[in-house]
Amino acid sequence: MTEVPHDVEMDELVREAHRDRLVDLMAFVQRACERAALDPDVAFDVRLAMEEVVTNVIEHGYAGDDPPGPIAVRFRREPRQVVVTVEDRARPFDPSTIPPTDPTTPLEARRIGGLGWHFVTRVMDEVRHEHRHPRGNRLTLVKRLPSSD
Amino acid sequence: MDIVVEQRAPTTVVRINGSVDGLTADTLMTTLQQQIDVGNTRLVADLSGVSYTSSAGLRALLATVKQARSAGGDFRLAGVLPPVRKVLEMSGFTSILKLYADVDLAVASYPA
Repeated sequence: MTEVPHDVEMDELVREAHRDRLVDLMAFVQRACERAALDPDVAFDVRLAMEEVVTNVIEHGYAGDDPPGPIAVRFRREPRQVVVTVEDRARPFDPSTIPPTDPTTPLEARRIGGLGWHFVTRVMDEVRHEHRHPRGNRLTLVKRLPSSD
Repeated sequence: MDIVVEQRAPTTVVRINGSVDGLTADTLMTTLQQQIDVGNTRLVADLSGVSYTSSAGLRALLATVKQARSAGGDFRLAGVLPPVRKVLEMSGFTSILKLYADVDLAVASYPA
């Protein structure tokens, strides 16, 4: 097991990736942000990115799988950053296939949806994706904390 | 999330309190659609009690503004707080939806 340094707090939640579990997953993130005493702006960004990623896994990652597989969310507060990981055993996700969002698209041409990933990459400082073997994905999201100096 | 619907001629004001996210967006969208369905197409959303939204929330807003405009009305936002404004700006929705500082200004923006 990896030893967790004393100035790092870590929380984890594993749930079936079902829409009914979104309420638990969202509450987990909110509680973790509160426990970590994050600045409200940072907490907002982490919560937004997490909701978008978790929703993607539920709605697209496991689309058509009955029952869906697990989703594991880890929240790690380090001295200078927050690191959140989301793991699943769903079909491979390839962020490079997501079309970029053009915020200047007029109303008539707007699709309902497609914005979630755009928000994730805008509000987080680092977004890393890895394929897991034999199946699944791991997304690592990093948010740097404002300097207290 | 709580929603209170109020008729303020010539508009319908929908006051929302709480988060507009993946858990609540469907309820909001249904409430707004019901208003359009009965002919209340000049809508104002009071968002001064909303401090969080996500793409799910924006989907509800986008669907509503499209329906309201195609029915001859509009859907205007009042009292948007900074975090929600940030999400609206990131998505470019600030150029689609009309935003007002408060409900009175949003109501007054519709012709009587």
